[in-house]
Amino acid sequence: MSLPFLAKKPIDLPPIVSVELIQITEKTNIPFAPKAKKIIEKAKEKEKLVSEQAPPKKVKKIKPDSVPMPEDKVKKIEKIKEDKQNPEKIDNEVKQVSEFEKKELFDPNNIAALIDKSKEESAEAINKTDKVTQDQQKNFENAGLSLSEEDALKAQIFGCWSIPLGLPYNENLLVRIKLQLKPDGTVIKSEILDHARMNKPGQGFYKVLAESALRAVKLCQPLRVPTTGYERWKDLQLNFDAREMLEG
Amino acid sequence: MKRFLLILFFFILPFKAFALIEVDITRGNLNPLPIAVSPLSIDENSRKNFEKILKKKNIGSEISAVVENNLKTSGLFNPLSKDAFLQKPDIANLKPRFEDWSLIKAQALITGKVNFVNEKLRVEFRLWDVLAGKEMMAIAFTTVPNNWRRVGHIITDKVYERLTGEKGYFDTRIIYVAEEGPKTKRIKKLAIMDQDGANNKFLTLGNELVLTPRFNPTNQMVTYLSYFRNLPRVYLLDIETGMQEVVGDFPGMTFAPRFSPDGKKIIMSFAKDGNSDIYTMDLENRIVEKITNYPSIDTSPSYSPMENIFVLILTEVDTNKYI
Repeated sequence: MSLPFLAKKPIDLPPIVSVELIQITEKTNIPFAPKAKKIIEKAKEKEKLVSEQAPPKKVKKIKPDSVPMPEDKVKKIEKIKEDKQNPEKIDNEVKQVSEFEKKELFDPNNIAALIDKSKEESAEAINKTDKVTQDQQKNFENAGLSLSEEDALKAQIFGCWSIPLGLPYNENLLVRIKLQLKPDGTVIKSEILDHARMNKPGQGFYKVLAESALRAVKLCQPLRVPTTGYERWKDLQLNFDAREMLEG
Repeated sequence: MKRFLLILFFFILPFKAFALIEVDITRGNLNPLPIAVSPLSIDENSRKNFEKILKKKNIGSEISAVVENNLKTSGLFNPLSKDAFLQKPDIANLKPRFEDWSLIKAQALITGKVNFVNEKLRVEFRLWDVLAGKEMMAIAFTTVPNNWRRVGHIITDKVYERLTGEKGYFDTRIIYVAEEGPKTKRIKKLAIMDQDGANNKFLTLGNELVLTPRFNPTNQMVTYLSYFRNLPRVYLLDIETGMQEVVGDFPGMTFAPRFSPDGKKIIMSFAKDGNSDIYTMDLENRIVEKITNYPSIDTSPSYSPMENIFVLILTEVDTNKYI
C-alpha cells in the first residue's frame, strides 16, 4: 500500500514546483533573462578565445626552460675560461653574448631564438586578443540598457499605452516597433516590423493593437532615454505584448 | 597566426552591429481613452428641415450627444468636454488641426456631417487618429429621419470596434419586465428599450403575469412565460409585427424557455402530473421533441453557446439534488 502512495506523490509535486518557477521569473522581469544569457554566452566565448591561445603560451614557456640548459653549460665553460683574465668586465659581456650572439652559434640556441621570436609573436598576439576582448567587453556593456535605464523607459511607456481591451488574449499578438531616436529621445522614425500583417484580412485585432502601440510611442515623446551613450540606443526596438494584461 | 586572428577579429565585430536593444512592453494602462466627439456639422437648410420633422433644434449635436453618451457608459472611453474644443465642427470634418486636438489630450476624434437629402437623413462621419494625424475610418449612410438615434448607435458601434477590436453592442435593445403598482396588486408588463434607456415601449398590457423574456439571438423574436387565463405557458412574440402565439400544443404548463444559439429552436420545460421534462421545438416545422425522461423535476435548460449541448437543473424529488 505504501509503495503506490510513494509513487504517486512525486508525480503530483513537480508541476507545482514548475508553476512557482514561472511566477518568479515573470515577476523578476523575464526580458532580462535572455539578455543575461546572451551576455554570459558571449563571455564564455571570450574565455574560449583566450583559452585557445593560452595553451601554446605554456608550451613555449616550457621549451625555453628546457633548451637553455645546454646553453648554460656552454656559458659556464666560457665563463671559467674568461674569468681567469678579467673576471668582472667579461661577466657582463658574457651575459650579453649568452643572450643574443651565442644562441646563433649552436643549434639549440637557434631553436631557442626561434622560440623566442614565436614567444614575442605570441605575446603580441595575446596582447591583441586581450585588446579585442576589452573592446568586446565595452560593446557588451554598451549593448543593452542597464536595468534602471530600461525600467525608466518601460515605466514611461506603460503609462502611455492604452491597451485595447476587446482583444483576444489567446492569439499571438506581439507588435514589434523599431524606433530611430534623436539624442533627446524624440522619435525620428517608427516602423512596425510586421507591417504587412496589418492590412491582411482577418488581422483586425493586430491592426488595433499596432495602432495603439504607435499611439503610445507618439504620446510618450520624448522617450526617457539615458543621457549618455546615444550610439547604443539610437535604434531601439519595442516589443508590445498585451497578453499578460489581457489574461490577468 | 595573425591572419587567423584578423579573421577572428572580423568575426567578432558584427556582434556590435546586431546588438539592437529590445525592450519588452508587457504592461499598459487601462484608463479610458480620451476621445473628442465633435458635433456633426449641419447646414442651415438641413437644420430647418430636420427641426420641422423631428422637433430637434440641431440634429447634428443630438446625434453626437448619443455617441458621446454611449462611449462614456462603455467605460472604455473618456469623451472630452466640448467647451475645450478649439476647432469648429464644419472645418474639423474637412481636415482637423491635429495640434489643436492633441493640445486637449484627445487621442481620437470623431467628426461628421448631416444632410437632408430627398426627405432622408444622410450622415457621414470620420474617425481620426489625432497622434498619428490620419484618418482611421470614414462611413456614410442614409436612413429615415426618425432613425436618428440608431444612427448614433451605429456610429458608436463602428468607432468602438475600430478602437477596441471588440464588436460594439450599442445598436441593441433590452427586453425586460416592467413592474408597477402596489405590492398587493403588482402589474407586470413586457417592455423593450434601447440599450441606453431610450425609446421605452410596452409590449403587453399588463393584464396577465409575464416572466422570463428571452431574445432570439438572430432575429426580433422574443419568447416568454405568460399566465394567460391563469395557465402558465411559453409564448412567442414577434416585436416587429406584434404577433403572439403559444409555443407547442402542450396539455399542461410550459415554462423556462430559451432560444438555441442559432435561433431555430426553443428549449423549455413541460410539467405534467408533478413531473417536468425538457422539450425542444423547432420553429420552422413546429416539431416537438422530448429530450429528457426522468422521474425528477428537470427545468431551466440552457444551450451552451458553442456546442449543441445544454445544461439544466435536475431536482430529485426525494433527495433534492441539483446537477
